Amino acid sequence: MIPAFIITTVLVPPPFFLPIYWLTFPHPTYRAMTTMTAGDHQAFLAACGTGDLEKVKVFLAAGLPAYHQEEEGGTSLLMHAAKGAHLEVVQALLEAGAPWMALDRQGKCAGEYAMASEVEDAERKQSVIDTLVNHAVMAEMILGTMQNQAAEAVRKEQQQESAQYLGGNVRYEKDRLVDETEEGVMMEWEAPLMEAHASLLCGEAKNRDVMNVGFGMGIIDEAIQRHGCRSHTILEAHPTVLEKMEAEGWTQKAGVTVERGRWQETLPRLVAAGKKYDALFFDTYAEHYRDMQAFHEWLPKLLRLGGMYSFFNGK
Amino acid sequence: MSERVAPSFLRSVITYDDVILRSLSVYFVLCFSFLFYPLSTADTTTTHIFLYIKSGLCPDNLFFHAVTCQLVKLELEALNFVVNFATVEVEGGAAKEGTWEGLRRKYWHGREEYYLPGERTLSHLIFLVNQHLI
Repeated sequence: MIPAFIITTVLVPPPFFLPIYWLTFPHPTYRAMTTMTAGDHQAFLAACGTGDLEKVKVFLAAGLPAYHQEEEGGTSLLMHAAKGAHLEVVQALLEAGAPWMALDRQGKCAGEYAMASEVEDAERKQSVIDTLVNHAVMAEMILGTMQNQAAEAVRKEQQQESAQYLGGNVRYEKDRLVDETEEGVMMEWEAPLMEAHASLLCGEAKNRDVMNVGFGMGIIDEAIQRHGCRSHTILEAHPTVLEKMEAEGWTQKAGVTVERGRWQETLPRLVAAGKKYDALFFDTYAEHYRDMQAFHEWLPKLLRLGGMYSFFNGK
Repeated sequence: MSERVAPSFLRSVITYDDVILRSLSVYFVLCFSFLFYPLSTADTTTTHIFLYIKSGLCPDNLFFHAVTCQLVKLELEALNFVVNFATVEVEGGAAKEGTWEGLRRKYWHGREEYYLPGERTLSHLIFLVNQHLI
């Protein structure tokens, strides 16, 4: 007599057998999602908060999802583990697919919980923060690659935003440049930061060929002029900003070249003409991270040996 | 209350060698998690950093900002740049009353430190090292 389970697992041909198997034995995660209780979630959160790795492993093995967030404050399992700086629990949750970027109802992510942790062991706290950063970067790199492969719609949307800005009005107020949607394009409070950027880009010798992409209020360009350089090239695309540059005499200034138009069109021309620079600064508006990546691809062609590159890291 | 700690690479120049994908299983677990992720979080305030990265360097959230800084750093290192972030103190202007008045939204969110990126092509360092050796 052949036992029944051998008949179902061995003798039934795969095409018929598999769907039956799936119906009878759903995936553990699905099974857990349909049967778990609020008490399970609470116990799972508590285990993460106290750093009870064994319990956390048991919950994960039972199929409880690593992405759970409690209802009231929106805190996640990962946030609880990060707050207590429980490195092993954080690693286990991340490996089980806990989303690092989830936010609680106050807009805080697990990384912020880790940074604000009151745990005394500074080394462990730092390890948790760095683990989260590394995991996040890895995830973003994978997703970035995946998105780039299917990004036509996103790219069109981004180009449209840039075109809207360049085709729309901007106005100069006392200490800021504002676009027609009342967004701040550039503001005077950035001046000390731009001064620091200019100092880095120009160095001491005043013998560098410097390029700035995006004039705006001209804060960094004034700083570059103060620091001194061999040549100063400014790329600007907005008609109103170009009018202001003309009115202020930038187009006539000795050693200054104003290139009109978007950098996407200007750079190929400059590279084809064999232009090279010692320092580049990138600060455009209504562009996206992907545009910046596209700009970075030009850097090796534009910069001389030992060339310096920087960008506004505040938007 | 203990001090807030920033990710290591923003505080000092460190060698970053942990970004290589640890294993394919991590990748699959990650993809798998996203399939189920919306099921439990549809009614909470969760979001994805991708939405932020699309629109800039996430200055409104220090941790997200740190992640984007690290992304830029790695991308530029792949282009043979040496990447450092210098910490610059942000003076009062951004926090001053009235600075943001009339604007639709802030693009600086009260953080007191600005991470100034300075990238230099690696070949220059090699050049310097060679000079030194000679």
